[in-house]
Formats: sequence, structure tokens, C-alpha cells
Amino acid sequence: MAKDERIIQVIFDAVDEVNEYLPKHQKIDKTVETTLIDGSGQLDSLAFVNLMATVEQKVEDEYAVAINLTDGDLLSQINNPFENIGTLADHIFLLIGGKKE
Amino acid sequence: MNTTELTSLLVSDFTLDVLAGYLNNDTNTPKINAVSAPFGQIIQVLADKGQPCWQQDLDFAVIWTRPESVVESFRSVMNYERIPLDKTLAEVDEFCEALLKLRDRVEIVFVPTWALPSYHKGYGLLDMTSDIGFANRLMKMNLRLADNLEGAQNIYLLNTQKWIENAAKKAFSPELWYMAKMAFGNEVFEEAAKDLKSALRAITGSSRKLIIVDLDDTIWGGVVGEDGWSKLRLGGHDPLGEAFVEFQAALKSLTNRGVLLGIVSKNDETTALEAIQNHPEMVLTLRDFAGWRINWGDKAHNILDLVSELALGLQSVVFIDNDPIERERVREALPEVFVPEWPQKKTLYKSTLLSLSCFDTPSISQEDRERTKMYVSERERQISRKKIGSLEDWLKRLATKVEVEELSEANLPRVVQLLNKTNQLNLSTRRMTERELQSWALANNRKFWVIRVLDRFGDSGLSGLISLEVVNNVGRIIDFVLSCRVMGRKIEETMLYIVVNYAQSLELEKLYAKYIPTSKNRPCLDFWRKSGFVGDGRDSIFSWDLRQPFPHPGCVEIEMRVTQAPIGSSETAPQLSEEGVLMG
Repeated sequence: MAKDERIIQVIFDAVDEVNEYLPKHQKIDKTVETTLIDGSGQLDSLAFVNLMATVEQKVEDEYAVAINLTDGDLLSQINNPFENIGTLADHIFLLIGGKKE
Repeated sequence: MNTTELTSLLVSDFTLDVLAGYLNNDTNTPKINAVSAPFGQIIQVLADKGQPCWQQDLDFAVIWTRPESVVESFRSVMNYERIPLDKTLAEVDEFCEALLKLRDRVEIVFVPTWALPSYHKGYGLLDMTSDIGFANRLMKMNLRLADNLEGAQNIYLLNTQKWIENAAKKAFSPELWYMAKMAFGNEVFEEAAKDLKSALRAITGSSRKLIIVDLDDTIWGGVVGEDGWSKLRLGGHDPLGEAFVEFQAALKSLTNRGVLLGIVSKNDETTALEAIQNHPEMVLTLRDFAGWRINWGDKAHNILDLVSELALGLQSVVFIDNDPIERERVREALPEVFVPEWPQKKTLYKSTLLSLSCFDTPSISQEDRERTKMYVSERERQISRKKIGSLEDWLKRLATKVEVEELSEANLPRVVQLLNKTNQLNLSTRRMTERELQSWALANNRKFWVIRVLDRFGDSGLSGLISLEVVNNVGRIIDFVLSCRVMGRKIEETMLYIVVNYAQSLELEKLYAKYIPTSKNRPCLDFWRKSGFVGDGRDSIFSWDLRQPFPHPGCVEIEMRVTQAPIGSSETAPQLSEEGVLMG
């Protein structure tokens, strides 16, 4: 499995976990294009925070690296890393750089 | 209470939306529609029944709080201040008073116990000391909570600590607390949702009552037909043998809470029974089993057959087998039977069994504790029946006695239990909480009798219920409930004799019974069709002209017992003969 595919799988695992309690109409699709925060409102703030905390935990389990995705400053960056699952994977790739394998 | 879909209010000083999500998404019965009360307004919500969140039709509420948010002095304890225990307990009492008032607003209240985050070490070495320790104080608070709520009908404490232990290091997330005011991690809410569902199934009478086990490599190690009983791995100085002994002991212990045991095994019956009777390390004896099917036939068919003999429904059954193919066969053929995934490691059998929550019940009566004994007595009755000729002769020889009492505070919990769990001989299949039934029975035009059955083989315990509602000159039988363990022994006819007799004493003209069909109460219809009551041709209404006496089954003795503190009017007590006994 390619490195970025591994990260995406980690995010998908977190999505599975969060989907277990989300209402049917708010379930998160497991695609790299799935929007997270872009104003379209697919995810409410609780689901977003929960997803990020779950991703953090799973990244730590998988790569033994502690990352922080819930820092409020990230949300105001010009290149929003939370636009979709693909951009989130890219961001995580940078955060764990050099420690993936 | 509508037992298929329940509406719930979640009240908390932290975010419970995740719990609501888990409850709402679980497709197992009962379906739940959970909503959260306004966030963080615990005291206002508890104190003010005018709050909008209480204005909906609620089946249950969950009141889940952090100890420091509702017991102010505990917050001081957590600040390492020295606070007298009395002060803390007085605040717990105050909180309990608010909880007790909820009984006027909602049928069932669940209160998870208080817990502290496991990362909080408190005073460490001194944390269990009685004057300052956090852990010591919290235990006393939870015990006070339990003591105060123990006598309260329909308020149940749930053990939060278990959920935290199961969630392990994922139980708490400071991040989720600061970002979303979630006091626990998702796993704790998932565990809580599972326990709430189990509790609701228990309260609505859907708990499992019968464990059917396989024999070889399930309750002992090895194959008895090949190895012989003396070579089985059971007990001795052998870790696996010890694990099987402890698994048997765990199965046996469940019979003390009312769970029945049965055997379905592919084996030669004589060989298998010989092993059970002769192996010196067997914990389970034949008298621990309500019944068995040991042969080379299909296990699904054998389960059906055994369940039918025990007059239970498939939804009561848990099937335990070490063989995944047999498990899959039973799951596919009998989807109502619960077949838990069973570990390959024999050392995990006991812990897997004890982790099942499908046996939960809202109360445990003496009848529950003696249920196995009752079934063993029934087996002996059947053996005796085969020896004696006609049914009438056999029933006479049984010396059956029916004791009749009224609904009372003392029998209410057991009555509700029987009402909610009886499916087959149940006229209207009403499912009610203690409070609902108590309130229903209080009306002057209603009467509720409770039937106990005894015979020479033993006491079958509280076994039947009849209720009557009188409007003008007409009586209507509302509940006609009889435990399957005494069906077919003329108790049904005796119950009708009692109610007809009573209706005649009130000089009523007609007695009606309305049969409400369910997927499980066909045996009830079969009885009413041959009861002597006149049917309407649609199997809906059955009636009796009260100018006619109802025949008394001569083989059953009736004793009307004086009830202490009956619920409802006792002005219209049943008519007794001089001896206080109604005899046929």
C-alpha cells in the first residue's frame, strides 16, 4: 500500500467510527473528495471535532506520532487542510514527514 | 409503553449527542428516538417540569452528570479542600430528591453512576482515606445514590465504571472535552448505549431465559463418544480442565438469577448422560438442565423441539456451541435465537459468558431463582403423567392448588415481570411499568388477581394474572395471562371460574374478553376457542352469559388469600365460602 493510501485508510477508519453515531443524513462518505469544512455544512462542529480527534488517535496508533488537528489556527489558513479528506491526508503527510515508514 | 420504538430525553451537564447517535442508529429492538435536553442546564431541567423538553411523550430519560457539577462540595474535595462527609452526602440527598420527582414526568429513569477521569490520581496513596480521598468520597456518594434510589420504582442506576474500563485508554479525551464538552470518549458512549439497550429489553420483557449448550469441547474438553467420559478434560491439575470446570460453574450460577439451561448435542444420549452423571468433576448435574436433545439430528430442529417442550419462544434462547458451522446453521435457520460468537480459546469461555448482557432483568424474584427446579418438577410431572392413564386422573393425582390474591405493593414487581415477559397465553399482551399498572388498578371499577400454583411436585410460584374492568352491567376481562410452565393443567379454566364467579357476585349480565393477536399468542386463542365462552366468529370477542355458572375444574383447589395492602378497591372483594375457600 502506498504511503498516502495508508494515511487515507487511517482517515477512512476514523470515518467508520464516527459514522456509527452520526444520523443517516450526516454520514461521511469515504472518498478523498468528501468535503469536511467548506461552508457546505456536511459536518457539524461536534462531528468535525470528533472526527479530527479520532484521526489523531489513529495516526498515533499507526505511526507512533502525536499530531494536532484541532488547533483553531489551522482553520484560518489560506490553504485550508480540512477542505476535504484528500487535503487532510496531504496535511497529515506533512505532519508525520520522515516518519512514515 | 410502546415497546417497539421508545422516545428518550438525555439530560446532562456535558454533550450527550454521541450517545444519542449510538442509541438512534442501533437497529436492534427496541428502536430509540433519543434527543438531548438543553446543554449544561441540569438543575434547571430537573427542577422545572415546565421546561419544553418535558412536554413530549417520553418513555425514558437518562440523567448523566459529572459529580463535581451537581455536588458542589465534591468540587471542593477535588480542590484538595477538607470537606465533611455529611455535607457532601446532604447534597447527594438533595440531588436524589430531584431525581425522584422525575417519576411524575417519565416512565423510566436511568442514572449512570458518577465517575472521575482515570487520569486523575487524586491524593494517590491517600486517595482511599475516608477524610480526604477523592475515590473514597466518590464511592460513598455513589453508594448513597444507590441507597436513596433503591426503593424507587423505575429508577435504575447504571455502572459507568464498567463502560470506562471497557473503553480503557480511550475513555477520556481532554481534547474532546475542551473542543466539544464531551466528558468521555466515543467508546464510553458506545458501551453506555449497549447497556441502555439491554436494560430496556429487560424492562420490556425481552431478556433471554434459556441457554442451550453443546457438550463436546463446550462444557468439557474432548469428544465423549471417542474418548470416553473418564478421559475428558474437566478439572484436575490441568489449566484447560480447570477452565471447563469454571465455565460450568458460571453456567450453573446463572440459574440462580432465573436462567434455564438446556443441552443440544450431537452425541449418543446414553454415553453423554453417563458422562454427566459419572464424571467426578462435573459441576452441572442433570437436575441443572430444564431439558435436552442429545442425538445425531440437526441442531436447529433439536432446538425447536426443546424450546417447544419447555413452552418458551425462540426469542428467549441463547445457543452456545464451540463449532462455528453449527453456530452458523442455527443463526441461519433460527434468526430469533441469539448465537454469540464463541472464542476458540477455551480459557475465554467463562469471561465470554459472563460478559453477555442479554439475561438482564429489572428484578429477580424467588420464582426466578427456582425456575430450574420448577422445570425439573415439570419433567417429573410428565414422567408421572406417562405412567398414569387419563389427563383427568393425572391432574387429580397432582393435587393442584391455586392461591388467589389481589395486586399489592408486595407482589407488584413480580406481577409486572410476568405481565411483560409472558407471550403465549396472554390475551392482550399489555406491557406496563409498575407505575402504569399500579395507576391502572387503582380505579374503582377494576380488579386485578394474582394466581399462584402449587402441586405435590412443588410450588410453581406466581404464574397467572387476571384483570377485570366493569362498565355498567358488563365486565370485560382485560388481562388473562398464564405462565407457560403451568399451561394445560386446568389452571386456565380455574382462572375463568374465578372471574365469572366474581362477576356474578356483582350481578353483572355479561362478561367479555377481547383477544388481541400477536405473533406469539396463538396458544391463547386456542384456549379461548375451547373455553366455553361464545366467540364472535372473528376470533376477536368471546363472551359469557352470567346467568350461566362456569364449570369448576374439579381437579383444582382454589384458595382466596387475604391480601395485605391491596392496590385498588377492596370493597368488592371476591365472595368466599365460610372456610375462605372456593371448592369445586
